[in-house]
Amino acid sequence: MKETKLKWFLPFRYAAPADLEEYLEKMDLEGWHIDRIRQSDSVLMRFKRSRPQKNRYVVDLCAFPKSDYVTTYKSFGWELAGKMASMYVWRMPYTVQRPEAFSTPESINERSDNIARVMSALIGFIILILIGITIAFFIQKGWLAADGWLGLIITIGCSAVLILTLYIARRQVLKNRHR
Amino acid sequence: MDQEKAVSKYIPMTETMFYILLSLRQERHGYAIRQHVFLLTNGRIDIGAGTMYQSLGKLHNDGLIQMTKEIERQKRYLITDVGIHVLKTEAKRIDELYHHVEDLL
Repeated sequence: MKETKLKWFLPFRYAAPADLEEYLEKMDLEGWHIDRIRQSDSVLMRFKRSRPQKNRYVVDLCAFPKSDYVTTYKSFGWELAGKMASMYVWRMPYTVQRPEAFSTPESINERSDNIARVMSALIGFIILILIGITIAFFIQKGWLAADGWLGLIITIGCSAVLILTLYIARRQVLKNRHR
Repeated sequence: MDQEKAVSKYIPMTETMFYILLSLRQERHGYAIRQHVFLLTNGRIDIGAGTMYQSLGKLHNDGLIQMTKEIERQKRYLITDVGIHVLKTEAKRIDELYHHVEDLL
């Protein structure tokens, strides 16, 4: 019987926080537990076989946490399961009522808006870099230069894929804004 | 933020914000606020950690509450004069609502 289960993820497969929370909770209920969440878990998650557990997970993006961010969650009984970049994953075992870290519709919306804002900023940043590279290319090589075009086209293509991925993920977050 | 700006931003106020401000007439940290609100409302309002962190950050940035001390990364807050003004304005609004529906109860 396998003791570990590896799960690969496409980028932003669970862009909406509630989707990732539900996935982790489902895995726990099926007896697959993740002890510690690390940066690499956004691509590949490693679950260990365990007894089925009823855990509540909460995903919260906090790009600039204040000194009391972790303490606040911990004092409310949450355990820090880990973080991926600025995305904190909190966990709490429960028996009957599923605990909530975001207890009002306004705060749930705000959490989603925070994630969407970061994604918008990333898209803007990539576009700015791309414009910079393109301008630098034309200043250095000129419109008619034959060499270097391939590199530029590949860069633009890769960036376009990244922007599109971020755009789709952002839409997914906003579509699930209230969850 | 001055009083009038704070009034126009926060009123009408959510129940959560109202009870957080009300609790901070006495110095408290996040979890103590949660306990106080839970008791006051007989368990009807149970503020979550994320909501508490967001709300305290917002109220602090807008000057409705101030941090009094930080012990082991746990911040304690107290309502400011601006916060009291906003709280009283909201209380008057609720009182007016209550008088308009009093005969229904």
